[in-house]
Amino acid sequence: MPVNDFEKQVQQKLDELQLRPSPAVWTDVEKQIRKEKKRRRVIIFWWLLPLLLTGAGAGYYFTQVKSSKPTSATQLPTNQKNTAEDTEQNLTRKSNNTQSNILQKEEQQSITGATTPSSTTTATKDEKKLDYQRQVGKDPGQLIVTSQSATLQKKKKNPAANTIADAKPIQEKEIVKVNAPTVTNPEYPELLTSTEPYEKEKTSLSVTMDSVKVTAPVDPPKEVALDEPVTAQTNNPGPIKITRNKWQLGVEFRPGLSNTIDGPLFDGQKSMNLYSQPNSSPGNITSSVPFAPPVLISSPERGFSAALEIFARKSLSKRWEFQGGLQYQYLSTYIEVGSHVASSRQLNNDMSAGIVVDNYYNAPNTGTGNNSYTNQYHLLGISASMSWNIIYKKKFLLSWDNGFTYGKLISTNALLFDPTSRSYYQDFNAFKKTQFSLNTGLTFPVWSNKAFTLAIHPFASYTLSPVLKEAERNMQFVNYGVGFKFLLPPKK
Amino acid sequence: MDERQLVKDCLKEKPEAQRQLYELFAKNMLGICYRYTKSYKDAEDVLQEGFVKVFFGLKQFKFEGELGAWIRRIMVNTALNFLKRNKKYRDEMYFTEQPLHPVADGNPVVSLQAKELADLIRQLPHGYQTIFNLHAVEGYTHVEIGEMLGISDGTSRSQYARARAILISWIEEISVEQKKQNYAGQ
Repeated sequence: MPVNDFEKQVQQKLDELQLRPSPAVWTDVEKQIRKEKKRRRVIIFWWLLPLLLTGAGAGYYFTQVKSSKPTSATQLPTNQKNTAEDTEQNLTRKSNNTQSNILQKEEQQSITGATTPSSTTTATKDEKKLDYQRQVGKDPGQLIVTSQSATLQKKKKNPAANTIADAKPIQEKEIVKVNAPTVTNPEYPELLTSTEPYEKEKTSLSVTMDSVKVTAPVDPPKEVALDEPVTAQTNNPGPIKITRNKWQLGVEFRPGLSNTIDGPLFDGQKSMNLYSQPNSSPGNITSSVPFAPPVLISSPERGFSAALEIFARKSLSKRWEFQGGLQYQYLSTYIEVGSHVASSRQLNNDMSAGIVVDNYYNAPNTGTGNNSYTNQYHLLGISASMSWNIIYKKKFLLSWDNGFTYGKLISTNALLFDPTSRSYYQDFNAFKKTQFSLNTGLTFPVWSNKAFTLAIHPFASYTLSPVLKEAERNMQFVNYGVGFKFLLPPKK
Repeated sequence: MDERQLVKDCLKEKPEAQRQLYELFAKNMLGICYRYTKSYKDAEDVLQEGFVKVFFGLKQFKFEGELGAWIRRIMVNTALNFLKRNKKYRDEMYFTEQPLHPVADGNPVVSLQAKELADLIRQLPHGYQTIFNLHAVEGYTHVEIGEMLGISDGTSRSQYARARAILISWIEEISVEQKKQNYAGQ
């Protein structure tokens, strides 16, 4: 009997072996397929999110720009603006050196109803007052009594209807400086109210008419400087000086770690072997086998990475910032290889057809004599990102950055594996030159002086483009670490 | 439904086609997974993992070979990954090169059933079991096995010889027992 008959018999026998799996297996398979499908959708959505945020940020910015134009054109002090608005509603009374008497008289008249003609000409007088106020502008002694006079004028015929509830709207009005209204009733001169300014908290405004005394609390003058231009810099003097519409230049150094991982299709596991390619499986393995066998080639281990970026950033609003820049990026991974051979060899595989290499490395052995080899990748690229200020406080600022980098692989010494000759070799043409990556990270300033601001930037980056042109195993770079941003003061 | 159409439907993620593909190959594939593992549950775990890979990698099947052979390859690779990943297998799967002895030249007639033979193979030490399966059943050369397991081809060769010898001795013992039983039965 020939020597191989035993093997043939075993092969035949075992080919017949059929075992029925329990129903749970299919249930789990099905569950995993669906779950993986969902997971991939989530991943896609997750990476779309920065784009959506970018779009939303841009939209918000342009909306802000449009809506802020008229405001910035007028830039009136708030109390002036309020006065003008109130006057337009015929609800403002103003007392000052020249007009107070007239106004007081009008007030008296309007409350007592003594002079009917004056009430008929109210609109004309109000217009005059408006003109006057526009001319006078900011007057520290101005009186702004809203709505009540008009209300009282309307209701004077029915004093019983004048309740405290009627006076409540006064509380809602923001009054910067209020002089007491001089409202008198000729029948009860002793009820003449004081003209002391209302500078105490919750000072009451007494308005007396006929026999009803209405006392309404008046809010204290608010010290909020609303008349100052509203800028993030004024209100939030954080370590990073946020100056809207001004570009800020900076430099960032990003040390970290990089590696190559399998794509989502392969459960996100770390690549068993980046350089073992389709068709590498010998023997009866068909060329369409997507999973190269886990051979002796060591897994790529993570290596050092670094990036240097020159960027310009612009604050679009209190919450949104845009950043764009140019960057150089260095990525690396470690693999274990065998001995170096300094002689030429022709290789023929899917990635490198008919290439002749001057030198190569043997596959590593199980014993000694192996070397650690650093696959180095050098990339140049442009980046853009949108930052959203999650925390925006006086003492602390934290922003979440999302963006992308469009990079070009400019050189690499990374090794590829040729399964036929069991050797590692270099072939720059086998690598995909264009690398598109998505970046995310947090930024928080830690130190600032007049010259620059230093911000810490923990980041993670995932390259969507595969590392190799012909790779069926969808492997990408991952890169993570902590960056240091140096921001120059805003351009004046 | 022919395989091509079945694959196309699976690529369209039709649940009934996926189920059909599974039904078509699950029994055979579980037989393969069974040979590489030590327990039925582990075999089913490998089968499950393998089929998930099959469904996600199906778009890479170009009809250049038989679908069954392609799935089989995935199952074998999944099984090897499973062994490497699983501590209870990994710790016992050590390979040492042993001197070749002329002990593996027997060629007994294998009168066992497939399941009995598979059970015998599963009783081999982990390393022997794996190498025996890869060489005798899957048909890999020792060089290829060496690459797959990270060992030298010599180690693979010697381990296989040992495995073969042990297995033959067991088969012969069983044959003798069977003969005795048959004789006693007569």
